[in-house]
Amino acid sequence: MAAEGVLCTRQFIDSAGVGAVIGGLKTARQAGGDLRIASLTPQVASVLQLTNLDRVLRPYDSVAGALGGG
Amino acid sequence: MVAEPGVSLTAPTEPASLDRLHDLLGAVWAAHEDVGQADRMSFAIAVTEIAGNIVAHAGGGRSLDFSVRIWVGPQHLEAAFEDPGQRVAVDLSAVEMPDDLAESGRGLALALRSVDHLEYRREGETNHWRVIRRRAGA
Repeated sequence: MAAEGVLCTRQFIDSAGVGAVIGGLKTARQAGGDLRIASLTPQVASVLQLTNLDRVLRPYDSVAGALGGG
Repeated sequence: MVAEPGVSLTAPTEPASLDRLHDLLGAVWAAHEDVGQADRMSFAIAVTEIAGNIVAHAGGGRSLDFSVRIWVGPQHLEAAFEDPGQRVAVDLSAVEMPDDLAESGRGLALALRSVDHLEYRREGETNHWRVIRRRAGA
């Protein structure tokens, strides 16, 4: 299956950013693709955990891992 | 007359003001290197959410100025916001994190999970938000 990835570098994310990521995730999955996240800063990882987003979007340690993950 | 403690910022309700707030926080941490990383991060998350809420909603479509004062105590970090915008209809005791796939509505829930105390009150025509994070080990 082709993976559709959105890769960006952000050191800080807020709830608006989380909403945008969810929107991207839903769009990608509806199109048969996927959105994966990797190499998170501690702040981004913390926000994803606090908002429970880590339940629907598993963080990868590296971009290579995200692209290769099933 | 005793000066108010901490540092403050007055800025318009526009997204660029959030960058100025981050710069202000950076200056606060530079002046208080003893504040731990976890405390900095969690406090900044909550402060950013309250500021974002004010920027998005206080003006009701028009621009107005809000202010924030931040100070570092020996046992806690505190931020106090004021804005002359519209009243916020919220019961913080009833705020919950929305469904996993919701695209909005997380801001106040995230702020509540990041700090020890979050308070909103309306005095006259002014909104007041108070954010307190107890410092690790305090």
